[in-house]
Amino acid sequence: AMTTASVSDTPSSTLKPSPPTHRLTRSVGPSALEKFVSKTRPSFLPPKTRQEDDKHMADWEAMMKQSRAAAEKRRKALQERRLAREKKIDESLHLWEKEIVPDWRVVHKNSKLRKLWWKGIPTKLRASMWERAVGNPLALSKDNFRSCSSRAKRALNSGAFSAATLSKIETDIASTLPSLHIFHRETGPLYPDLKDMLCAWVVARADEGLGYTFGAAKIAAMFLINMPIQQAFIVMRNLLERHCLRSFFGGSGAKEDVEAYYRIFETLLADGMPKIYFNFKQHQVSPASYLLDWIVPLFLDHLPFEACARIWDVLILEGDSFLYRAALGILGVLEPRLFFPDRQELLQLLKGENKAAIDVATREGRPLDGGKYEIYGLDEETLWERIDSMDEWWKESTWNRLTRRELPDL
Amino acid sequence: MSKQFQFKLVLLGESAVGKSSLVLRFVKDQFDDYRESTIGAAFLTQTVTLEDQTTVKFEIWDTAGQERYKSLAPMYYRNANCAVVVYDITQSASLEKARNWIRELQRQADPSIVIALCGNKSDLSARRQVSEEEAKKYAEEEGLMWAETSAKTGEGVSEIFTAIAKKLPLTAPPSARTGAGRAPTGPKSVDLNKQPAGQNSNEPCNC
Repeated sequence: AMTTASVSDTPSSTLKPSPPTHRLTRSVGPSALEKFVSKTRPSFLPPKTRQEDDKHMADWEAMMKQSRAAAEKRRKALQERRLAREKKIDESLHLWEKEIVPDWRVVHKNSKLRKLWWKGIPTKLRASMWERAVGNPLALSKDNFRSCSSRAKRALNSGAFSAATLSKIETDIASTLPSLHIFHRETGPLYPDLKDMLCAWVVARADEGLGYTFGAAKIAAMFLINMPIQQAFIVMRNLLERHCLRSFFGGSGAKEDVEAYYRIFETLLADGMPKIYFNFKQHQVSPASYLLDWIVPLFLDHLPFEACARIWDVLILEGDSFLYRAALGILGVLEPRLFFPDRQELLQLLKGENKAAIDVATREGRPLDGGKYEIYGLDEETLWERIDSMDEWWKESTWNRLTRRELPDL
Repeated sequence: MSKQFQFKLVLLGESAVGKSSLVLRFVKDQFDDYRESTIGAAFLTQTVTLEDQTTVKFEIWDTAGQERYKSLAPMYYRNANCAVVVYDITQSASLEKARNWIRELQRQADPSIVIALCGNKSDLSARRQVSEEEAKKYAEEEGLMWAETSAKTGEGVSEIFTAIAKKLPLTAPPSARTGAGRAPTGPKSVDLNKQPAGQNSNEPCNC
């Protein structure tokens, strides 16, 4: 009984009954070697009897089956709650159209409507709400995409477009929402649009002396899913003009601002989640090793797609402070996993490459090609519970005070 | 010179009703008994030539994974000229799902969209759960095209796409892709000021 208990607690990889090659041969009958080698006990321990071995093997199979069934049940329940949430949003459509659509700024005055916005914008209204809430501080003309795009095409045709940039764009696109297949180079229906949009964006950036920032493809992709390319281009350019994003996209010239943003994050982390802060500090895990990866693609690399859409709804409304709130919410969800006493292990986990979690996700049949943190069970519901629970300590005034202190020129 | 049109067609319906098989039959005239379920979106094109030599090129968006990703809906519906909503005649629940898709299309897509309801797996009529009368009646009430098909035998497949092609140029402007004149559906169908009381009372209201 002791052995079976230990089997259930240990990540499946370490005590997996037999390596895959053995399993393959099992279908044609056990090999001579397999008849002697125990499948349920490491080789450095004294062997079990054949009978005991078989029994434990069967126990293990049964436990795995139960675990899969439990995972399936959890998944179903989660899915049902999500559908219920979506239905509620659908049902609120008339309220949106009556109260918010005429002038979206009403949500800044009416807390009930603001709460409604936080639940997620109905998909039908998302494009127009995003467009209006982002605004057009750059005062770009409706033709902006067309003119940037034709300049990009001329540069591409004449060979003036940097080959290095082009290959960066291709690599970025290849890792953009790969599980959706929409942006696949050969078969993706939106691949040409995404590439056009990014080339035009590079041209627009060149006017400011800036180059391509890896991760921009994700942002362009999210906009292209929601709106036509001309509109997507203008909204993207304006959104990236907001100070925090502008800094993270600002290349070497914005290095000091980015450092300031890291300090702000550390202060907030120390305030709200001191245990994580101390463990990170002890192992020299600075915001530079995860925050940039989250913010530049606006979480699309790490969070499940649906969770991301809602995060975008709110960060477009609330501005830079919500970027931080969402980032802290992510750390909150990951918290139980963040106490490794080892720097490498922590960094690996934050990259979304924790081996044990990947094994569990594989065993439970969860998809591995979505957001990188899906393997940690980070879904929309869990994340939002965490973000909502930050109401207890999150103060907008603290954010404002910190940005004033660290970025006095703002 | 013959006329040429290009249209975006979205394919909707519950999983395993045969959406991808239907497209595979239409585009490549193939059938595969053990097709794996489509993950993410698949994208294919096929051209239909009508009797008057008009050619209609369909850009077919096979929308697998829709149920997982509600936020993708705007992409599928944007500039869609036609939709084929598929159900499985041996599964009455799949018609229920089809009704949901159709409601969704009527709410979200361009009002001029041509919708075809398609009862697939007609080769399995021995196990039929959805009668032709029931589906046809519903389609007539909602003003949809309707047909039964079998992706397996090919029965009715090219017919339904041809029927859609014939209906299209009459109701929608050609080539939505290049037409800059087409406004996005979102803002266009949102009526800011008009809120007739009667229209609201038809919908379930939670306030």
